[in-house]
Amino acid sequence: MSVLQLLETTTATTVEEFLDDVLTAAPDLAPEAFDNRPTWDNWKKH
Amino acid sequence: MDTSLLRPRRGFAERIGHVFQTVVIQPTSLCPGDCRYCYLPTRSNRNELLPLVARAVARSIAEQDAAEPVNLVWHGGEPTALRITEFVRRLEAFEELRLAGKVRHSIQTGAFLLNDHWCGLLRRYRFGVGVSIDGPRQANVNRVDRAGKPLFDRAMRGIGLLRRHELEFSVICVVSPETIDDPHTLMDFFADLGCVQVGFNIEELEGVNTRTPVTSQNAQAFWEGVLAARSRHPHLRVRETDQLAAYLAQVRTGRKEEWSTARHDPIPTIAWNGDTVLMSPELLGIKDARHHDFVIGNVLTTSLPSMLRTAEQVPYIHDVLAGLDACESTCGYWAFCRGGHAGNKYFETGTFTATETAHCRNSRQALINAFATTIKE
Repeated sequence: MSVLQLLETTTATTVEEFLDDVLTAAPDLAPEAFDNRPTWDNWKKH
Repeated sequence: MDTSLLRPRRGFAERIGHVFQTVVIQPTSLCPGDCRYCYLPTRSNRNELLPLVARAVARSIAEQDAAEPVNLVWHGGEPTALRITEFVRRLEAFEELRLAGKVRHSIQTGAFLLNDHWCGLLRRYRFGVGVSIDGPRQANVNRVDRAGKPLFDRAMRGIGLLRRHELEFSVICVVSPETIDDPHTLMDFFADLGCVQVGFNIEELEGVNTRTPVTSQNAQAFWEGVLAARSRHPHLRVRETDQLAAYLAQVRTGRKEEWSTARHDPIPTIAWNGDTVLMSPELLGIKDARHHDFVIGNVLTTSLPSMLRTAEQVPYIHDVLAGLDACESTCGYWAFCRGGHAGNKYFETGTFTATETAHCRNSRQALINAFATTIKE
């Protein structure tokens, strides 16, 4: 199992807490598209 | 192997698509700053966006007529180095679209030239504001003007004006070899600064920047520190952890398909004279023996939707697609990352068909590994 798959499937409470924290602060996170440069997605969330 | 002869398994329509959500536009190529890691080769030239180019871009956005507003990012040089009256003249080309909900303005600025007039403009046209600053004073040694003098105090003064005008702003922080070992200091600084979000760009090899990059071990330790510091600063959003959370939340609720089918934004980037590059704003102004100047057209003669309809025939776009195929075939982080960034691949390896880059290792893999380490503790 890859590290990414581990994060996708683990039942560790730290992951759930992390998601709750982040998604409560930023409920609009789902991307419509992937930017090709990390610089630019700063603006998409506002 | 000459991958130009290979046909990408998935084409432009499937990987990238013909609809742009973001346009980067260069109000001026000039930047009074001379940051030591800057990738822009033309930053000492004062070329100002031609008003007829602004009007042509506006026509392209109107032609596309997307349901969602196009994010028009004023960047590529220091935007506020253009006289404010001239800036307004360019903005007016988009005003009808903005009022109709078809355009939303953003600006990326070093903040060191901001004044009350600029803040008034940013509010009047409802700009999303991004500030480039690398942390506290000692973290900004690379951000200097052309005389080699620090920009920090001037940038902080500009940020103070943004706050006084109650303008929300986000920050882009370049994490350098000098600062990567102290994420807690950076997080404390940005929490105090009042920004709504910080994005950490770990220093990369791009454009004319030829400094030594950081290691992936440094990067993982950095992300571990950022994750740990979140508990002290729950209201400071961090772009990279936001992205990871968005991915995991979707996957863990059975919505992986939404993430895996999202296309890359082609990000048309428009130079002052209308020349247009795709996929990576850093390609503007770069010369290459095979790909020449990466310009796929000029918006004065060809609309952006027209350029996108034929983009798949452009050799470097073909290579970008082949590179995405290669990433999907070989990388265990593909599901989250979706293929890295074209500019990083090109500037680090000389080709868009490459797979793993320093950006992959430092900003994707190291982040995921850091988070996995965190949950084991």
